[in-house]
Amino acid sequence: MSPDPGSGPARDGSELDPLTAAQRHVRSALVGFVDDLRTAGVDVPADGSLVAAEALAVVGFDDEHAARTGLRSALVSRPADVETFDRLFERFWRRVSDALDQDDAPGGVDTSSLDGGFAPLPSDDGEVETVEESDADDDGGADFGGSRSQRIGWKEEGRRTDTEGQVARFSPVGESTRVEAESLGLGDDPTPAVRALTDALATRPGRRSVPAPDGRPDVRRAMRRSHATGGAVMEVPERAPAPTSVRGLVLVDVSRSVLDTLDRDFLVRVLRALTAEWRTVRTFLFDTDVTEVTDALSADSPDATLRAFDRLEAAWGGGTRIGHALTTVRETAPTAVDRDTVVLIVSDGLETGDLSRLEDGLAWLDRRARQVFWLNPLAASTAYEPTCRGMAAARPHVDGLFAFAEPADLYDIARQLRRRRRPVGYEYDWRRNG
Amino acid sequence: MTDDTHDDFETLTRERLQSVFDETDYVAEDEITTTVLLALKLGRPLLVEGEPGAGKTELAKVLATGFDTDLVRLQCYEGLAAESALYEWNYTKQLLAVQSGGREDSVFTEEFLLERPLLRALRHEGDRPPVLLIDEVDRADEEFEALLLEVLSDFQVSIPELGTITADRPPIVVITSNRTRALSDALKRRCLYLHVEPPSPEKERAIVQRKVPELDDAVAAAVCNVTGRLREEPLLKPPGVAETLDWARALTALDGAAADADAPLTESDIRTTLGCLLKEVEDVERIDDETMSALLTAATEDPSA
Repeated sequence: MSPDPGSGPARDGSELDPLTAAQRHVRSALVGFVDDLRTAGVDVPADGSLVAAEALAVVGFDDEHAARTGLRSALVSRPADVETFDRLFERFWRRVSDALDQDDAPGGVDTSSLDGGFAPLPSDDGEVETVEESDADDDGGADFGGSRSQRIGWKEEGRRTDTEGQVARFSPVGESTRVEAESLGLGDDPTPAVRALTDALATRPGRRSVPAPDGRPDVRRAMRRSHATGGAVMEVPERAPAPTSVRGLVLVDVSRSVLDTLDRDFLVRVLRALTAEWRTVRTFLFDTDVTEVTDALSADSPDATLRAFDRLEAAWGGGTRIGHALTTVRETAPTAVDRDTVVLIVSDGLETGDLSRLEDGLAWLDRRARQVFWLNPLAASTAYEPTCRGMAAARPHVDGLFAFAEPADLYDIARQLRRRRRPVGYEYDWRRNG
Repeated sequence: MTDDTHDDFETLTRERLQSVFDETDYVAEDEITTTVLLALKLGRPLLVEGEPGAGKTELAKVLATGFDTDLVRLQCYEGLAAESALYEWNYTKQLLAVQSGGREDSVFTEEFLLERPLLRALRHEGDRPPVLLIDEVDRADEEFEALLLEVLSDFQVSIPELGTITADRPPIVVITSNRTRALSDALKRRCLYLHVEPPSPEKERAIVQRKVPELDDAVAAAVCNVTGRLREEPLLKPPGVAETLDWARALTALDGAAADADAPLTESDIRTTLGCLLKEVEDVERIDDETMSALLTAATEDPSA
């Protein structure tokens, strides 16, 4: 989705009058709505936006039901699309209402410019600021050259104070908070689920061998079979090592929006289990900075891992700059990915940085890695649609987008990878489809 | 294309349109009213889809009646061609004119042109634009849809021998489809879309009360209950609203006993008039004693329950 043209001043630099600004907001929201519908698979006619705008002009904004009916008649032409339309219309209507309310109450929040997987929440006190993408992306001069387990990346100044008790629907360029060396809770051990996932993802040959048409001759079995034919070897079976282990790269978004929806205990335990089960794995945490925590995850206990995080000055709860993180990993650890590597990206996709960097980074991973999977905590919701711009940009480059909130999600990934080669993803989750 | 139609309906309000529906005994929810209002104000064709008997064709008839204008109907069928939908030359008359030898000019003039529904709607002369009903367009071939595109987008028809004929007053276009096949994107893009759901029991009861006012309200409720119960059976052709109305009229015509509120529907009433509701012999045979008992039970149920 393009940046909101309605959020800025007029082209000549002068401030817009409230009416014109509101009109721009509504137009922008409408175009975004049509874009969302198309992304969700609704068969919107090519000139749907124009007809929808005409329809809105006729029915007005006083009656939500009339506006819904008018837009539906202009944008939907299949009964099967009505449900999707109704669901997305709620978000559109909130955006429009916010824009119009903002016009009534100066100083309100420009929520229409935020395009998260869920609609942005209107702010009562205006403390949630509009994301300034340019500020978050013009670094480039980072000094990367550290060894593993060294804090790498760019330090941001002047961050915003975090707000307690508020669930972030997007990741502002917020202040990271240092990981406290506290004890983790006693959550379910995700190790069995990680083992199931490992079996499904295995790309590297292990010790066990299995019959294979293009393997090495299995002399022992050939001899055994020859007993039945009087000692004559009729055929030579072949065997090859079965892939039982995984070489991986795990990139974990620890921005505020992710941690508001994902249990940190579960996250740390899964990362530790991956480190233990996979043959080789390198793990990076990122929000606005990037930190490699591979060695810390090999610590004796989860609490030891947290203490190691503390020593590493690993931080979480900041903003999300996925593209920056990918670029950093590419520049500092290019050997972390090869053709046998499985890449897991844990993130909600609510990118606040430059989308082109995100696309470039994912294209690099897509070319270089065996498989790239995106684990999204938000996808655990049945109402989730990957319509935010980060996810929309990422999806062409990933082999599957899955939910990630509990061990059952890992089991479902394993189930899908074992039973159906393609396509896989959250939309094929049996729990989602009943 | 002119905007005369647009101008005519520019001042049309939802209340006025709703009153048109009320006057013509058409039970329309807000969704139908709003969508029709948009189609009239924006001057765009209205594509109406839904189950058979949901009231799609009736909508066009109601608009023609309500706005006191003509209804031009084009019933689509497989193999429908331009000469049946647009225009045709009167070959017999042309032949006679040529054989008589008295003509200096061409025989391809207005004099020899036979108007078909689409052209007739475009050249309609009257105070108000007509309602053009293109009924069951999904029955026609895809080639016919292509032919419709020029008519629906520019409200004009190109006749090679005469030139382009443009509507002075674009008609109100209602296109219906039963969704037996998907329509082309190009056609859908030119239309506003309305999907008419099968009526709820309450709406069906209101329809029966309006269309068959001589039927007592309690009997109307019983009629709708029985029809609704029948739809729960695995029938080849479940009864639609049209069948419900036919049955209600049949009960009224058969007089008295059935139309009397104090006399409930009997098995005999239902058996003798079952042909109004079921149009397949297998469906009629499916109504055994057990099903009949269920129908009679449904007939006595309180509609408000």
